[in-house]
Amino acid sequence: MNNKQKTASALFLSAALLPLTTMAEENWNTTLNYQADYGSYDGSQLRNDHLSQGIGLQFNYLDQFELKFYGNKSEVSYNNVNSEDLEQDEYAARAGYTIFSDSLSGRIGLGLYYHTVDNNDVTAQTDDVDVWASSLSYSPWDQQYKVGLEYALSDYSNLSEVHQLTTTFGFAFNDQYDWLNLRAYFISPQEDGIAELEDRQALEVTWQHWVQPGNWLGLDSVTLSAMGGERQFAVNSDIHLVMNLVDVEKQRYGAGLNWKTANGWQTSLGLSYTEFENETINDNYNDQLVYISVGKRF
Amino acid sequence: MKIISYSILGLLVIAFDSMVLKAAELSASTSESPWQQSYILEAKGDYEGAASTLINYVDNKESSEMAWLRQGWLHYLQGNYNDSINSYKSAWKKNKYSLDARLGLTLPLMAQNRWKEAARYAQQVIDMTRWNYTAHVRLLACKQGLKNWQDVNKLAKKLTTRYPSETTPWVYLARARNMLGDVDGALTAYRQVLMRDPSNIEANQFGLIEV
Repeated sequence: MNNKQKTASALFLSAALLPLTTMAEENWNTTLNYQADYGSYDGSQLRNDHLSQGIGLQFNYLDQFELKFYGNKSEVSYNNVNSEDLEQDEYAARAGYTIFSDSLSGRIGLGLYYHTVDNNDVTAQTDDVDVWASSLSYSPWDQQYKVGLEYALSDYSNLSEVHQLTTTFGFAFNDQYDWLNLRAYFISPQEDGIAELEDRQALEVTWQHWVQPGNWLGLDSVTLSAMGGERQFAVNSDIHLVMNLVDVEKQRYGAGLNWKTANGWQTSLGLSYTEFENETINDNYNDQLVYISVGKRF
Repeated sequence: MKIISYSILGLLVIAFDSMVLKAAELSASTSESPWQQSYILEAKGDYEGAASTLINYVDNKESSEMAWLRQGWLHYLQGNYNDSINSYKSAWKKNKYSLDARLGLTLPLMAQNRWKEAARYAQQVIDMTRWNYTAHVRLLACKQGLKNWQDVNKLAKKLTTRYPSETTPWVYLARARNMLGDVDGALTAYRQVLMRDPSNIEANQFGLIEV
């Protein structure tokens, strides 16, 4: 763990003490979340499987201000028994502020995001990564739709800087019991002397349906998602995702079930299927992943 | 002849009275207080004018609580929700016990779909007064905005027992029961709605579909 990682870790731990002060204030909500995922690589010449666990802490001041901290530890095992497992630590923080604008008859969302990655990658290409992102969004008072723009700069210390522009458009239908979100990725690595680094574009579609209460599974909502195009070094600040992988993500499909209880418990179960290509060794493989997330709002 | 004379006299008296009233109206329009002007302009739909006539009562250190409440309401009517929120908060600073300021705050917040914040102020009024009807109805609207149908169901049920002649709690109760999958319960509640408001569109539509 380098000094930067220690600082991020200390910041994360000190933030964990904040609930003690904020819980007393009725305007603040605190949410503590644990999540874990396991993925198995199928058809990969190099990779076997991966496991990760993370803790998130979120503070909300009514609808106006949001502060999120996230820490994650993951391991990737390789097919070659002589290869040492990849161990990776990630820390992320996100601040969001909402302006309620009468002149625009809606909400302006401002966001700032930081994510740092540290691992023992022997090639060092995916190690020592810093990501900064800033975002702007708008939705009308009735929140029937939302448009957003995010710019992310990923600094791969031993490889390249990567610029990413993300545009999002989401809209509600079925009396706001359904939400369809389109997220377009435009990714451009700055280093142009390396063959694998090219400009990539991808489109991700996510559909969320809120189930009427009283259903037999007690569900709150279900989610389906699909991604087409190509993503490399993609950033999704909404879910603290930094794909610090040189391999190119070709397509992805996912599904999730979400539960919420009146006393603040939130649980999600999901699975996803992702196809990758390692263009250097022409290795096409897929990742079959399952995840669980359990949270409690105080 | 006598009848005609009395009739003419009567008409003259009426005409004189009318002239006196006209003169009184004219003199009133020039000597109306800013408050009176404000209410007249509001009635005419000139909310901006109604607010500006009271500007001297809020634009100084001795600003009046009532003027801030009026500003809050008139800004709300104009769709200036942030100004409305600020005005109601200024009124609240003048009088920390004010239920009007708290209830007033719920209006622009609900208009901005800030349901959690609006619910907080409605809840404060309920905590202070227990069964304030307006606060309960606004809290119901907030819970509905948050799609928290369990809470809508509980609150509406309690409110129907406290205010049995009111229609609105029954409408919320019927909606909540329907959303929670209790169609029979919803139908019972909508029947109660129709006893209080036979032309209620929502209840009539539900009855036609479900029966």
